Amino acid sequence: MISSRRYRAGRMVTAVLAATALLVAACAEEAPPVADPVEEAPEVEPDPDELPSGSITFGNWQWLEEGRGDALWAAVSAYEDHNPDATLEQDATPFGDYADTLYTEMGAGLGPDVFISLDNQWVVLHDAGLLEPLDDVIAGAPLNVTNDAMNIDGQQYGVTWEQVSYALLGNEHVMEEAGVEALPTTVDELIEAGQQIQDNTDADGFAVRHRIAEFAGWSADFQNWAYGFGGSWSDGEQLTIDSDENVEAVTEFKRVYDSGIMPIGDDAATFRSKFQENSLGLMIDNSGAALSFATAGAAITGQDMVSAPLPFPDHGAHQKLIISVNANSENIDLAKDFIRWFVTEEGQTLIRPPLGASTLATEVPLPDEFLEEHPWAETYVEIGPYSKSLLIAGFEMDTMDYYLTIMEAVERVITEDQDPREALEQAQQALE
Amino acid sequence: MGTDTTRVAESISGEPRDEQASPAAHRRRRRLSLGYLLIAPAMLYLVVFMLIPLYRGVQLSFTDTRLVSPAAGSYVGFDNYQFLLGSARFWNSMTATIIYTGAVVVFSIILGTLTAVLINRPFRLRGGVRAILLFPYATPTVAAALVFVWIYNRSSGVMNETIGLAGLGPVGWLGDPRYGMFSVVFATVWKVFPFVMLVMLAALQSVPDELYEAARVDGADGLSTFRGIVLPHLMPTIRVVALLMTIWSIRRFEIIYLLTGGGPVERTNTLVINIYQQAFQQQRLGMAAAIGMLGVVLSLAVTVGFFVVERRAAAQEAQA
Repeated sequence: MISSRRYRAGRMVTAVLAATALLVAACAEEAPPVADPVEEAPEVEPDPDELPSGSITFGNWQWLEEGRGDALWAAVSAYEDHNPDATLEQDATPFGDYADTLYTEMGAGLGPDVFISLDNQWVVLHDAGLLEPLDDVIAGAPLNVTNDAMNIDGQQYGVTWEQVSYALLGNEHVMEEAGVEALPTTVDELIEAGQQIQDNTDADGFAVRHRIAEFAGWSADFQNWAYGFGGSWSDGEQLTIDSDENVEAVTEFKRVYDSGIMPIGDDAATFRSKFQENSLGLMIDNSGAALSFATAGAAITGQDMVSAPLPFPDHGAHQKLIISVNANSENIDLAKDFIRWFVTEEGQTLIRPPLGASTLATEVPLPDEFLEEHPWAETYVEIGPYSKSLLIAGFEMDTMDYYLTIMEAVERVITEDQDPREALEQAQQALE
Repeated sequence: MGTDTTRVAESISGEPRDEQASPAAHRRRRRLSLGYLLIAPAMLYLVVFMLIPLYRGVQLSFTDTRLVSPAAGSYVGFDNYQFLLGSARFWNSMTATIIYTGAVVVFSIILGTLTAVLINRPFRLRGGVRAILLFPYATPTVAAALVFVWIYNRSSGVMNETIGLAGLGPVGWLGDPRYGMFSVVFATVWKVFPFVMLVMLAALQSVPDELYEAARVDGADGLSTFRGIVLPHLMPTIRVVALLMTIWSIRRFEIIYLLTGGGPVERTNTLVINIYQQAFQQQRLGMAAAIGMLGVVLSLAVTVGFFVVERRAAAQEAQA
């Protein structure tokens, strides 16, 4: 990993998976993540002399995000004011290489002291015994239900950094020029709006990941379609890859792919840039990426973006980013003390603005000024509680393995016109 | 160290101890010691960066080791190999590797050789043209791959703009299974043919001018001169370049991964891409090592095949 104190670069959060099976049980019931204060611990001002000292590295790809990276780092760096004998150092790796680097380093007994991981990465690291239990430092913190997924056998191994959900985003400039008055609410309306944009402007109509070359991001994005049409890949015990709902989701994805409204071949970095430069009208993306668009200093601001729930019958997916402590850290006490501070009201309040519309570890409302500046955030706040985990229930450890087979089946449908049911049946057979 | 070296020298020379005491034997022994000293860095490099990793790779391939627990794998015998040899995905990878390698080697050698022959002739701005032709080889692979992603873009790429002039397309160069392999091979050949050109250009310098002159006197045209004089002189070089290009193509990763990630529909899922998927996306380090070992077998087969062909060619030349 590249270690450095300050980084300004321009990689976006592209995406991968979210929450574990326990979270599925907790969140799939359409219940909002109500704050669940374990106990109201009195705020005690710590004695600086008793705090651990030294330096710790903090691994996260988000440090490299244009606009948002610096704001995030400034927020967590406030820990140094809380503990003057501590120094935080950035450990920044681009998102595309982050998982590989983290696995390799931690497998070798190295890696950052504190780090962010996606939930599909987190289950692998937990299974390998590479995470430090955090029960003693989170006791008393009013953690919400998004943290339940990281409680394994009564021990807490991580805390939610942010939980990002997906919504339909529109570029108001492009929509206005094309005469599209409202964001679509169905796939038919999406295709119609996309065609209207392409007919009346120089912009592309709609974009979403669609290439196996972006496997990690595409597999996460595609779950919005599966969940959106009422599908899932398992019932908790058996795989349900070839269910009617999943077949319908693939069929509808193919219909949009073939409609001519998508810039086929564009990767996420490209179509996201197009959106920011008024060259793309509509896209499905997560709350973290949306905030990056609004703060990157490109052609649009938060005021130029509109959002709506996914144009599908049901709610979509979320991905969880988890903060954990490396069990091989040479300064575990300091790393854990940082987590202790992170879940305090001070830590959570500071991290709220740069994490925007995402759900945090505790219930911290979005400031009114933020919502005025970023009206698109409202939708994400509303849909967040209803989104579902990306992990395949009952097969959490094999999620990415299974997604590869599933996404290759989807790829055959969109590029080789294979029948969706036949493709998903083949995937089901291959994994059974 | 010194004692060891002496002992090795003695055993190799096979000379009796009293004879070695003579000044001539002493000089021979010193020469041998110097020889060992000189090859030591290369041997050290080979042992540290080739033999030990190879040994570790063989070991891993018989285990179910996971990426995040490299020390916790259990011995599984030939299970990984058995699984791979019965897996359609593996054989698809093998086929993709052979197609990719064959196409890259053939096209880059043809293009590189023809370009070398053309720019070997004197003409104005020859130096500048040579420098421009070398440009792709000097371009970092990642940068080249990203540029090609743009060139191949279906909605706004140069490729589709170009064929659009002829009323064709648009084509999904990287997304359509019919064109995926072509697109990757095209980008790779663009990147590597200057190397072939450079080597061929050097080889062309060894063709004596008298032969060209004799051909001219005999009234041979350009094609006859190429077939009768240039090509025979280039053949040994072509064989070596073909071997190098084959080995490099079998293990090439970045440009394929950045362009297609092994898709569309596994069309460009070569062995190295498959290794990456197994090791990093699916965490199966043991399985990835097994694919690597089968890749080594493929490379060895190519190398042995090369030496067989080379030996036959040498024998034929000797007879002639």
